[in-house]
Parts: sequence; C-alpha cells; structure tokens
Amino acid sequence: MDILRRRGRDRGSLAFTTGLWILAGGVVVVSLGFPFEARIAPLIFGGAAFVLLTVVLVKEVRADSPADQDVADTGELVALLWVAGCIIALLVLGFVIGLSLAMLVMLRVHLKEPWRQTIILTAAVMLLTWGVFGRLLDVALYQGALGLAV
Amino acid sequence: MLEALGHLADPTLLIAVLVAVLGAQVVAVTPGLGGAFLLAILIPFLFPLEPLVAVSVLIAASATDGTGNSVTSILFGVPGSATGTAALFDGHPMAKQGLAGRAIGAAMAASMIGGVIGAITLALVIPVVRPVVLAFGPPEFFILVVAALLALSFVREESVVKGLVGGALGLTFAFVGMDGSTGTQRFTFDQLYLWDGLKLVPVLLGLFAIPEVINLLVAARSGDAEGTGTDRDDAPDRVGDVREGVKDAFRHIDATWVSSWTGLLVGILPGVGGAAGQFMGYSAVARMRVSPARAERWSLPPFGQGNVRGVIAADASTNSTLGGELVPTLAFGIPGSSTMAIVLAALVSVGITPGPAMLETELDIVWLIIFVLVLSNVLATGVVLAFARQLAKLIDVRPALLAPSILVVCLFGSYATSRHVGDILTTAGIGVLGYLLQKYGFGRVTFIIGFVLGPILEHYFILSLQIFGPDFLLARPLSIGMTAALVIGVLWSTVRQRRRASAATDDTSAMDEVRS
Repeated sequence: MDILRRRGRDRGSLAFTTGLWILAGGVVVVSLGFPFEARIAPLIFGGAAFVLLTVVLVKEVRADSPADQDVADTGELVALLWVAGCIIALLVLGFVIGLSLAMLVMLRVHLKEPWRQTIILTAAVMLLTWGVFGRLLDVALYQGALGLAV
Repeated sequence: MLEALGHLADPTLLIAVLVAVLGAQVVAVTPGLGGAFLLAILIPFLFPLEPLVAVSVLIAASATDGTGNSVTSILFGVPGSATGTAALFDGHPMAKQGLAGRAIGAAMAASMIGGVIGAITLALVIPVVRPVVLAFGPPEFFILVVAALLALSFVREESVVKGLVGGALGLTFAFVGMDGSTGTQRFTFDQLYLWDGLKLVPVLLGLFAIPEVINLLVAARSGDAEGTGTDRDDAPDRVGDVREGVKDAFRHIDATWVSSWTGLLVGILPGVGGAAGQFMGYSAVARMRVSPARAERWSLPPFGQGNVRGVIAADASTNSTLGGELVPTLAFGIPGSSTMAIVLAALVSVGITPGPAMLETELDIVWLIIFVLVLSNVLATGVVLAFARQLAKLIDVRPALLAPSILVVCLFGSYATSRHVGDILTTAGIGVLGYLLQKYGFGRVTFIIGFVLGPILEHYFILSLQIFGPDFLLARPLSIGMTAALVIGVLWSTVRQRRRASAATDDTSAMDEVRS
C-alpha cells in the first residue's frame, strides 16, 4: 500500500529534492572560485550530487498521478515545530530555565501529560541540566541570549 | 597482546565496560532506540575519559546492543531494535508455550558464543590482513572508500540513486571549513565557527537522535508506540528455566556455529550489517538438515513455531556480525555500516586512528578491542540473564516520557563537546535535514559514512593525483584490479536492481488489474 502511495507525486518530497538540488548546484558554483586543489573534490562530489538529484527530480516531476496526502504529515510538522520551539527556548533562556520551561509546556500542552508527571519530569530535567551537567560534570552551561544580555 | 591484557586489568576500564554494557542493554530493550542512537548519545561523554577507556566503552556498547533486545522480542513479540527481529520468529512462540526462560537462556548463550567467535576471528584475521593493507597505496584506498559508499547505496538503501545522493551530500558537508593543503576557506560564509568544519558530534546527534525524537513525539500523540500489549502483564513472571536454554545453545552447537559464521561473513561485507546478518544466520540454520530422530529427541517443532534452533540462529549471528564489521574498520580505516562509521569517527575524536598505521604502531589497541569484545559479550549475557525481568519492564516506558528526556540529553551532548552555541544550531539544522532525508528515503547511513570519510577520501584523491596523475586508477596492477572489480560490481548490481524493479512493476500492474 505504501509503495503504491509513494508512486505518485509528493509535493513535500518534490520541494525537498528541489532544495537539495539547489544546494548541490550552489556547491558546484561556489567551488569554481577555489584554487584547483581545494575545488577538485567538492566539484566532483557536489557535481555528482547535482546530477543524481536531477535524475531524482525528473523522476518525481514525471510521476503521473497526484499522491494521497499523508495524514501523518501534520502530526510530524507539529512535532518538528515543538522540537524547534525547545531549541529556540534554549537559545533564548539557556539550558536550565529554557529547557525546563520548554519541557513543562511540551509535556502539558502537546503531550497532554497529567500535572504530576509533568512536574516530576520537568524537575528531573532541571536537576539533570543544573545538577548533573552543570555541577557534577562541571560544564559551563549556556545561559541563553537573554541571560548573556542581562 | 600482554600490554593489552595489562590495560584490561585497570579497574576504571572494567567499570566503564560494565556501565557501557548495562546502558547498551537498557537502550536495546527500549523500543525505537537502536545502536547508532546509543553511540551518537554516548560520544560527547567519552571526551573526558582516558583514550583507552573511551575505546573500551565504545566497543562494549556497540558489541552488546544486540544482546538485550531479544528479551522483549521473546516475551512480547516486540523487538527493541531492528537487530532483535529474527529472535521473535521462534522466541515469541516459545514464550507463548511457557518456554520464555528457555528461549532467553538459549538466546543469551548463543549471543555470547557468537560474539566470542567474532572476536576470535578478528584476532586471527588481523595478522593475515596486515600485509595486504600495507601493500595499499593512495589510489587503492581511494577506490576502497568509493567502493564502500557504492556498496552501501546498492545494498542498504531503498533507492540506489537516493543512497548515492546521501553519500555525495555527506562528502560535500565534510568539505566545509579550511582546506588543509591550500588554506582556502570553503563554504564557511565568513563564520569563524565553520573554519574547523562541521563537528562530528552535532552532526551525528542531528542526523540520528533528532529524527528519533520527532518520531517518538508523533508516536506519543498517536499512541502507536505503546507496544502490542501481548501477554504483557504475565510475561515477566514466566522468565524461568533459563539453564535449559543455555544448554540448548551447546546441544545445538552446529546451529550456533553455522549462524555465527554466517553473521561474521555478512559483517565483513560493507553495508549489510547486523540487521541482515540475523536473517541470513536464521535462514542458513533453517536450511540445515536435522535428522527426524534428533528432532524428536529434543522436541523440535518446525521453524516459526517455537524451534529453539531458530532463537539460537538469530542471536548468534547478531553478535558475531560485529567482529566481521570491525575487520575493514580497524584494518583499512573504512567502516562498512553506520555503527562502524560512528565507532571510527569516535575513535578518531579520542586520538586513535584506525587503519594501516594502527596495525603497525598501536597493535595493543587492536588487541584491547578484541579482549573488550569477548569480555563485553560475556558480561552482557550475565547482565541480561540476571536482570531479564527488570529489563522487560522497560518496554512500558511511554514515548511521551522518552522523547523530552532524549531531546535534553541530545542538546546537552551536542553543546558539551566544544561548548559552542553553534553546535546546538548545527544539531538543529542537521536534525531537520536528517528527518527529511529519512522521511523521503535518502540515505542517512551513506550520508554519515560520506561525512566521516570525506577528508580521508579527499586526502587520498589529491595524493593519488599528485603522485600518479589523472589516470591514477590505472597506475598500478592492484589499483587496475580493484577498479575493474568495482566496475564489474556496479554493473552487476545495476542489472540486478533493474531486474528486481521490473519484477516489482509487474507485480504492481498485476495487483492493479486484479483491483480493476
């Protein structure tokens, strides 16, 4: 069933392949500006990627029937956004506050965990980052853009 | 060899091996988490360790991640990772017949024997391989790296072209940073962070751990990954009669032996790896003839209905595969699987470079690896037999609790190596790329092997050009032979792929006709 579904044109796949194709083309173009010894390997392998991606792209464009929209796509996008949100929280507020806050919101809002488990896991994350990583392993934890500004 | 034994007497090293074995069993039992994930998470924590301790941890974890997952395969019919799949064919039917303990005993004993056979073979093969490796020059190494990437694309990936794209992209990402020979900044976009190139740990974590977190989050929302729930409540209570299973592995030593050797040979081939080794070992044993008298004496049902020889076959081959995989990794510095690519890269990170030089000057490390392989396999068997009930309960850890915990460890791991916020951004960027590569069927394994081998490939390529000129592939009899073998291999694999593809198209058309 999956194989049949994959036979059709998938807009997500087409967009991703096009993105990679542009990236590989960019590698080839930028490589041309390097001296011979520095450009030969990126030119060959970037060029190989460009040619192969052209083949994939042609195949995808020529796929005859529109593919079924994958129902799971929305769920995956939401999950991806939550991971991105956690990373943004870490970059802004740092490891201890940012990650703990992101965990709390993710567990409660996205994963719909009961308050008890949410608080226990968030506290565990806080203890792990501050206690184990920061104190026990003696790693100077990133304080976040806001923390550094203050 | 004696020096390596001396290293093994270090209590810190022994404790580290034990901890690595325990951690590997926890990850092995937890559904959805595999060997590549374990190693990716582990690497940041290796840097503070002594190089020999770090090597031992790495080998112990990679050698035994296939041991524990048989417990959940047998008890619940849910493999912890892909390498535990064949164990459920006969292991789970045995558990349903009330023979779970016997199946676990047989699986663990077979795992141990397979692992030890793999380690001993590695010890025997290394001295034989050594002169061959030393006869290799830059052109031969270049061909070998290209062959490894091509073989992985043909054998492992769903689409050969997409597998090759993964490899080419991995190589391209490896070229980011300052070029050693000319001092040129390549693809750095005036960012100081990129001058040294993309670092391995953030790339690894992004490629393997972030997509895992996304998959777990999706599973947590849909409630998919909570397992099958088959016999879950009472299964752990049925763990007993393990000793009879251990005896089975010796009673059916022919099955243990054949499966171990099959797994070992599969491991040496680039790109096939543990997941395929178990099936090949299983089918090799299933094809063996067992006399009716013997089958009756040991009450052996047909394969797939609780035959203990099937359990033995699956587990012996899984653990022996690693010994085979280590042969090209240690001798040539060229990994044949994603796990070995990570092991290779981690070894380089802690200051140990596998390859010809290692066989010349650091043979004690090779012996240490062999000893750790034996020790960790024995320890893993002991740990799983002792904690089978507790490990079995790990299957109930919900993805909703697992995903956030993994994300935190993963983000800390990427930051801890160089303590640069750029590493977190790299993990995030590569994480999205890794997720999309996985989703759309591009090769993540070929990507990581291309990324790890990129600098080596470029080094041998430039050196070959400088020494032998543009026709370096035809410069020496050995390189001519290897080039010819590579071309024949590619042509043969292409023809086979085309035949398979046309057969699949015929099947699909037939299905369409039936539907209409």
